Amino acid sequence: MADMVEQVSRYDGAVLLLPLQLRDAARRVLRDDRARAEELRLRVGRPMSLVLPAGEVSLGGEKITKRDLDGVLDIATGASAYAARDSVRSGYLTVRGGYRIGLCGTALMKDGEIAGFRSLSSAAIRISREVIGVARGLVRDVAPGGQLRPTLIISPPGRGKTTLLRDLVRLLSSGDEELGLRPMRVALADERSEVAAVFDGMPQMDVGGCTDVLDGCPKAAAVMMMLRAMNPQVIALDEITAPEDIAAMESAANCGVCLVATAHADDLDDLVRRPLYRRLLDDAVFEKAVFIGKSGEERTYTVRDLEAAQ
Amino acid sequence: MIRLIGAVLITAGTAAFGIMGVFRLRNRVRSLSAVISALAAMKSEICDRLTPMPELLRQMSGEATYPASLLFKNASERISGLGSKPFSAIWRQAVLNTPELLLTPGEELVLTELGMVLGRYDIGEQRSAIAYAERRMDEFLRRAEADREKNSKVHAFLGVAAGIFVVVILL
Repeated sequence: MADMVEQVSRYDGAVLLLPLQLRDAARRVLRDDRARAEELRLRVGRPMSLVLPAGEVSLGGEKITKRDLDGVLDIATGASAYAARDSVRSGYLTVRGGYRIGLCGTALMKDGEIAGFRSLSSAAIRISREVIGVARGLVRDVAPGGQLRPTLIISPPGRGKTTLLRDLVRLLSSGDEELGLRPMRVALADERSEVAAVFDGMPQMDVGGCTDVLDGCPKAAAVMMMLRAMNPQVIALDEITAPEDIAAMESAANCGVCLVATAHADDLDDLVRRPLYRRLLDDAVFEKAVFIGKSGEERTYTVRDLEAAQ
Repeated sequence: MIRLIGAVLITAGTAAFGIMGVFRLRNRVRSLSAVISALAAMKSEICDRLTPMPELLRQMSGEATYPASLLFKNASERISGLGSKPFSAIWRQAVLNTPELLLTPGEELVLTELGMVLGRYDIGEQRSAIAYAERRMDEFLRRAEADREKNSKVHAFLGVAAGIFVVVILL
């Protein structure tokens, strides 16, 4: 019940990021849907819609205008879009409370790179949710005897890789006597501010007491910087996407730092088929893999030994 | 004796009225100067330091010269209403609800139009808009200074003269 109240209040917090004229439509959503909502989507010329685990549904009402999107940007930045231009240039904003707003529109190019948006055409307000304790059941497998093994979290998009990574980071960083985990120094490379959702220097999500977060920085550069500067015992990063990430992780692994990361793949076969990840497996950078499956609306977690699997 | 006292009081009253006019002319010049300085500081904070608007308004309400400081204080107090109204409306309300600025409708219009651009993404656009407002306010300032030079003595003279005139009529 308390969980339901918390989930609904996360949704209600996201509604406050909407201009006044759109809030009523968003508040008319049923309580169950408010608790499960993943995103509010605004597209110019279309009514606002809600992304639920089962798919996207229109909320009806007035069509979204460009002015509405400017209003969202105004609220999210405190009428200071200019101060958030580096973030806007990347296509998203992290705001107080850990909400993340993805932006889309006509890009403004400068010297061959995106310098921002000439005008906005859509926005997605992501209602990220912490699921405290979701990683507890996996700790004995990924950290047998309290010794963390390098772990890769794998699933298709939308299954909760980031949520699981966040909770695992929290557990590793804070420690858990019951699970035989001692607190470890965790360096979190949070390129898109999705894991810790740092706002004004303060993580908006619980990532533990011994976690140092470097956000807004490409993962490969962040890993190398934290390796040099923060003397981490664990480096965590979300979504390995580029060969540079792999090279940085190899360097970290060679320095004796334990890695925890996430990757998009349907299963182990899919992972092996992808050249980018093939290298990671060949070099045995990771020892454990956590697969996130789905049974109805329930998520299932399976831990496998990568060496044995190969 | 009573007539003499009455004559002095009437003359002093009308003279005070004239002097108030002189002070108003002086205060308008001071106010416009303060607004221009505040706009320059605002331009630097937004375009060079990327100071977020709520922080900028708070800072300027303490650092800007009176009565420009009141404009920023009013805007700062209203910015929590962001979401229920756009920033341009908040800024406009702050301009229109700061009578201490002694602005003419034309001067108010320059400042309220500035609010349409403030806080937007494009820094170049904001720099141009603030610079334009500075130039326009500077023109108003020069007019206000000329007005003060030209009319200060007239106001004082007319105040005293009106008093004497009334006294003569009554006598």
